[in-house]
Amino acid sequence: MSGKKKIEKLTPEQEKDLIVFRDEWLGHGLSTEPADFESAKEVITEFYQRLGQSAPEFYCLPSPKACALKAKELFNMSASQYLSETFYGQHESYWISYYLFAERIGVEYAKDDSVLLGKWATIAQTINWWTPLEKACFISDRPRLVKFDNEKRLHNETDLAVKYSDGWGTAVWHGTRIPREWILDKKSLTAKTALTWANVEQRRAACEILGWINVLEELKAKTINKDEDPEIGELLEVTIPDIGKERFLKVQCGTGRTFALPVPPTMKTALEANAWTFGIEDVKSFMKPEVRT
Amino acid sequence: MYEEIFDTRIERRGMYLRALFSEDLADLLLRTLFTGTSEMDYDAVYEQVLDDLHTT
Repeated sequence: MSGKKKIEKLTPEQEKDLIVFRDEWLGHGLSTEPADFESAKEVITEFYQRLGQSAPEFYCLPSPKACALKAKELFNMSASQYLSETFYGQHESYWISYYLFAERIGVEYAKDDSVLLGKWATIAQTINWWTPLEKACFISDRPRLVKFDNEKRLHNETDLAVKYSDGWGTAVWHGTRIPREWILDKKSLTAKTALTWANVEQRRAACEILGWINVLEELKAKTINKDEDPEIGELLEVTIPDIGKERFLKVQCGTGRTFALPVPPTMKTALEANAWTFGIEDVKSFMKPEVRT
Repeated sequence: MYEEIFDTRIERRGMYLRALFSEDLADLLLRTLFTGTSEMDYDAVYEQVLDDLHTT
């Protein structure tokens, strides 16, 4: 390896280039374009040949699940075993772009290292997950849909958050993976299911999907205190299975929509609970909000 | 086959970049590229494959 001189900082041009380069590689990582199987097969065949092997039988399939199922059918591989031998294609953009950018700003790699890095880059630019076995290689197409919330967590309220062309994928609610039917068949999700679900993160997601207001109605919430102003709201108490008593503020926003917010069980009045939602503990200093959206 | 192919990755061939950059630059590149291009949370997909095949 040559070119060991330490690089202290980027030039202004390199700083600009870094952002463009990052966006370009993020684009590869999140691409939902159909895979370019042929380009990937060529590179993977070269890997096999480097190792003294002939080209494997390729199985190019629509999703990682389809690949894992095929491997199970052909080689009786368990899912864990299959996944332990899987590379992530486009989802390896992070380390590939890091090394490529270093080369771009002057780090010199041995020629063979540079060539191999280029091959890994081609794979990341063309396919989703791939699994090289002795005589067979499984390659998944890229997903057709990847959706995030505004905090860049996987999230989709109306469909799977990651969906492949065979319809397979995963449902995710603000970064929490949830049963697909909660999104695809919303009627299957009831307040009882939501409130007794073992996984707490998924339980929170379920209540948000249903809307706390609907959950409270189903649980026949008891009124603790009701303010005459609907924008201050009504303090409710419910008994949640396995958890116990919880309190919620049912309140109308400035646009007339009614919703419910969990509040601490120590809240005694709707006004106190409303103030708490604004981070105000001293209810005497709390002025009624003019608009809540 | 997996292990042999894994060994063609540049860091497995002894190329580690951090020593070639100042600490600030190394942090900037790691944050911008290494973290910045890993937004896709594929753990969810991984776990879904495991779940689905265990119930198939």
